[in-house]
Amino acid sequence: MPTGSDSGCRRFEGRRRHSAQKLQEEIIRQAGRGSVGTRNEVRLVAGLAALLLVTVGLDIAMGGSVVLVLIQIAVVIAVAVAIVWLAVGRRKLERERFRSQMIAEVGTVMSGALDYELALTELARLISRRLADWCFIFILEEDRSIRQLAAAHVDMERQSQAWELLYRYPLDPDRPEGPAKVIRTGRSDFQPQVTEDLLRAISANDENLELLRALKLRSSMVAPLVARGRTLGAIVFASAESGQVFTRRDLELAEEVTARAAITLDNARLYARLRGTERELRTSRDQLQAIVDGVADAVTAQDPSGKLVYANDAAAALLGFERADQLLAADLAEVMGRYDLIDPDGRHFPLENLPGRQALSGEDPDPVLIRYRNRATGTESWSLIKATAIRDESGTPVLAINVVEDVTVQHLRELRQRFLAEVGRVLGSSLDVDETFPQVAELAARQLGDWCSIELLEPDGSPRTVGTAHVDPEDSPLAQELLRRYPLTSASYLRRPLGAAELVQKVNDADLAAVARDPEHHALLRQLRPRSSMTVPLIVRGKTLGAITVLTAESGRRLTEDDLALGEELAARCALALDNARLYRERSRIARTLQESLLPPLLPELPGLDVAARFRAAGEGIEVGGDFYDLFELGDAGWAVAIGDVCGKGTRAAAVTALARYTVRAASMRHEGPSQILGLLNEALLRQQSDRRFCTVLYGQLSTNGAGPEFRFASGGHPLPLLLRASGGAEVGIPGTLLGIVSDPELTDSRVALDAGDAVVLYTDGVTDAGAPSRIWTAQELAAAVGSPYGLSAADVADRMMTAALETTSGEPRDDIAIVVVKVPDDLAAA
Amino acid sequence: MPAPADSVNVAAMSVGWETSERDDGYVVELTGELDISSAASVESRLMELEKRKPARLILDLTRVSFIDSTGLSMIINADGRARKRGSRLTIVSGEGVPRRILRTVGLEDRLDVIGELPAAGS
Repeated sequence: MPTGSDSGCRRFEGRRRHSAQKLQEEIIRQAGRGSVGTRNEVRLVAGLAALLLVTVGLDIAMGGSVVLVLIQIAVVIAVAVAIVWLAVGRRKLERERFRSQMIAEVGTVMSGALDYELALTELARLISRRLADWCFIFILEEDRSIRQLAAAHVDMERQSQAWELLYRYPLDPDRPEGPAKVIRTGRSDFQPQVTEDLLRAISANDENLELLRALKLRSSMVAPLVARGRTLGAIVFASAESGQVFTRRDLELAEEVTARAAITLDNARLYARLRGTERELRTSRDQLQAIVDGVADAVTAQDPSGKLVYANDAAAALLGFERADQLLAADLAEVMGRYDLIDPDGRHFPLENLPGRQALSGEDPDPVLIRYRNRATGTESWSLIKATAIRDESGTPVLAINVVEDVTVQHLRELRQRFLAEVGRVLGSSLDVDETFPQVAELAARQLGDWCSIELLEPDGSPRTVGTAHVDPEDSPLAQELLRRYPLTSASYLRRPLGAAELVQKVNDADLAAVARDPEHHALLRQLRPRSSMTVPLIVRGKTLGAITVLTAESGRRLTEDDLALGEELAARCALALDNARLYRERSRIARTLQESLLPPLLPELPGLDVAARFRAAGEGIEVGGDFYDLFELGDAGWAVAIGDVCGKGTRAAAVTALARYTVRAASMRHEGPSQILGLLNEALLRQQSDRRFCTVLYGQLSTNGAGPEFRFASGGHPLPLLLRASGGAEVGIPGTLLGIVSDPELTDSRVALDAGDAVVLYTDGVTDAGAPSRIWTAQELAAAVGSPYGLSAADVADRMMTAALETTSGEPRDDIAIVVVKVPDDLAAA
Repeated sequence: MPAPADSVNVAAMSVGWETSERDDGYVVELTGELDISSAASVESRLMELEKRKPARLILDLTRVSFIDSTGLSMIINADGRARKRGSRLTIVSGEGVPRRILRTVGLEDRLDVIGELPAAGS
């Protein structure tokens, strides 16, 4: 051992202020390096050898026995050998003790610190105190860079010197020598003598080299931190001022310490990672739990057997449990058995079609909308159910996560809106409640309950069932029988002058008895087993005119206050429709009466002439039109015929129509020509300043002189008459100005002599414009459409005109149509 | 002075409305049906235009496919307002339905009716 006792003593001296423990460490350290014990042994052996030589020399000089001398030598050698052997054994023992103690301390240091970085720093300090002057620890990071984790020297000042070096020159992983190489290769590097060449090889540049030189490295060992076959870093053991030269044995210890540290480091890292992962897991699990527990939607997880393994509070509440754990403990089949599952079309929904089951069977299910009806209470809720499968590595579903969104409120609202819209559509389709109310009853039976009937009070006070429906009459002969024979609404209810809505959530036999009209009815009702019922009055203008009754039976539904509110809304709409129908009937009656008052109720019979008239109101006939015609006797002068069209519709137009018609009648009494009559009408219309309405009128006079019938006429802006003859038809006359606009209308009399078989057709523009604008008839086309009037009656001609006009329309004619035909019999002499 | 926005309100009418400005006033070209459903809105738009006091308003009906009594009434009223104002309402009837209707009701010679759109300034 080359380490001199001097240096050991100096070091010893220099550390007097160290604590007793440090002192002890120093002794152990010295022992570890084999300095103390070995030195004493050598001295002892040397002393013995010297003694032996002195004894042998003295014996020889004194001429003593050689044999004795030899024995003495042998004894001395034996003693010496024994001493040396003992000494070696003791050293070995001490080294072993030191080694064990070192490893134990490494273990303590490595497992004592909270994290491995701190532990390794502690380890470096331990090594610098016990095994080497310097200790550096390098860690291989995940990005393959090398991080200098620790540098330790017993002298703190020198330690900072090392840190400076390390910080200034991070270790290049590709450096050919030193820790980089060890980390790369995973093999120790043993340099008993640190040479200038080595320093150059591990230094980055001249400055780095200077700093390295300043460390005064003497001997070095670099051992890899290897665990589970992976190099995690390296520990550098270096001697400097102690002058220690490392041996293979030192290397072994260094490797052992390093290996021990590596395992601890690996474990620490693994543990740290595990703890991190666990923490993340726990955090995410906690977060998930918090989220899932907190969401309003019900969330459940099912294992492949269908068993619930997780449920949040909302899921528990949805299925009638207070807490999630109660639901998890319950028998799922039993729980589901409490509900009827119904699809949006009202059909039974099979459990195996639930998305969760499908997800578990490997499908990717679509969300489904399901109605749950609690069999016991009859309450219903709507849920939108989505399910996703959680799969293992092989793709096999191991869990199905169900998210059940309670959409009852939205869905009921939507259904109600849809229902009311549908009711509105039905009620709007016709004014005839006998046509619409049966459809409304069907809708109500589907929406609200299994049964619905609508009863109306007849004017004599007797009830009449106008609409009655069962949700599925084909399935229920009982329903058909009952609906055929009895109204649902009780007679006594209908007798009330102003009924209030009634809801019976749970119908009992007394209720049935009260409703039943006779014992047989009662028996039928019992068979029906009604659950809930409600009756809402149809109130029109403060008077009950009927009622709607809804009854639930086989569905088990229990009607709620919400249903009652919907029923009342339904009733309000039906009542409005009822009122509208009555108003409409009234109005069309008035319109018809008024219109009739503007037209002659019966055409007079004209001697020797055949006359016919046709009138058709456009639309539904609730508006009084502006068309009119008239045929009246002019005393000796013959007959007057007039046809006219007042601008617009409605009562104001009707007033002008009446004015025109009676003015023409009155003016005709003056025995003047047609243009004068129209002139008088024009003045009358202009005087009537309240309304800027104009009208077009064709006025004519039919007279018979010796030569035969003659038609004198004038047009006030009105389509000219058609003269139909066997030879063909055409417009006749001269156009004039419409009446009521200008004070000097152009009105010109025309005159045509009529032959046997001729027909004169007067018409309003409703005929030509019936199919406008896609088809507008010209007079020539109309004449051609009717053809020869021979063999036709006036009525035939009028009908042909009407038919021609109507065939150009796709629906209703655009305007009122009025036609007056005057026909001269084919055989004039015969007439 | 910009012409009134042409697209506004037109969608609600069964008749199309197109305005262009001339030296002496405006040309309003109507398309479609001048009937009970459109006459009132055409009339109110014409009255808006009349507020600008044009010397002449030309109502081009060449592309009008139908005129009912309400449409006629609208034309007559517009003519009446123009006369009262001392300005001129010209109807371009074309040769189709509007001309025939105007002739039937005897307005062809009563109103300022022409067959074709006159050149500017004429």
